[in-house]
Amino acid sequence: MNDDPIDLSALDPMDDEPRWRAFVDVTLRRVDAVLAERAGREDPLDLIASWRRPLLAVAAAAIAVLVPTEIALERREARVQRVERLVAVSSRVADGGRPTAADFLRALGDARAAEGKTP
Amino acid sequence: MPDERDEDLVAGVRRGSREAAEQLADRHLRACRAVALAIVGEVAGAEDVCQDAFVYAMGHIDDCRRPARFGAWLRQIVRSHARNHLRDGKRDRMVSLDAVDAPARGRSAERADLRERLLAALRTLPEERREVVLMHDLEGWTHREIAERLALPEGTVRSHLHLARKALRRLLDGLRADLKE
Repeated sequence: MNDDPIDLSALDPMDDEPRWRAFVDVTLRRVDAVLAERAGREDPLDLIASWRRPLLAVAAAAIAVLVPTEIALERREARVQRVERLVAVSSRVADGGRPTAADFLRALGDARAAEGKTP
Repeated sequence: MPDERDEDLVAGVRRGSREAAEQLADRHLRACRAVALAIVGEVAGAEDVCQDAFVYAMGHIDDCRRPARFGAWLRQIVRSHARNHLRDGKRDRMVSLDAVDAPARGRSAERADLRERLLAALRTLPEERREVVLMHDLEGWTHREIAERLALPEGTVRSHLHLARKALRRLLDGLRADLKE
């Protein structure tokens, strides 16, 4: 029983090699166009991913500057309020008024509280 | 990069490498043409399908979920394109591409006639048998490779190959006898 391979070489693309080479070249030129289109098409997720690091760096820098600034401003504000309350008590004394012990305690207590101490 | 694995080449195409696409074409285009030929049944149409499928694959390379099996994925795209090609009846386009082939016919009319006889004989076979005989006797794949890539038992591949050869031999002998008369 003859089960030898059939000679299909007439169907081989290399039977006409220049034609096959031209076919591959045309195919790759079409691929070039597709690759160029892919390169020009920004994926939104890729875009976000590419921004992630710079955004994180900016956020870290902002936190590093703003948090100490905020703390410093709060302390300064508390000091100003304490001085204002003491000035108010002093003014009442200067005007001949008689501040009560509670007024003194409130002014000193608030001042200590503002400094984080217990009255 | 001749030794690069398919998955590396797929990654290269995803990064926009033309060289990687060229390597994949060198590796897989011939087999794609054979698969298309098995379905479409004529050379110009098969090459048309093969080219469209390869370009489509490069454009949708992100959809290739198993880059190590790029070849199987590509051949599946070829099959789909070939069936669409037949369904849409792109006969006019085939004729125009056949016309491009005319100089080759002029150079070797006898070779072109042989090709037409082979194609006519192949068209009488069931599609799967056509693909098996083209992959084995034209592309040089082993029984095992065909079995793995077509997801068929190796015995079935051998049987398809035997029956396809028998039918082709009978048809080609008959055509030769007709030509002598």
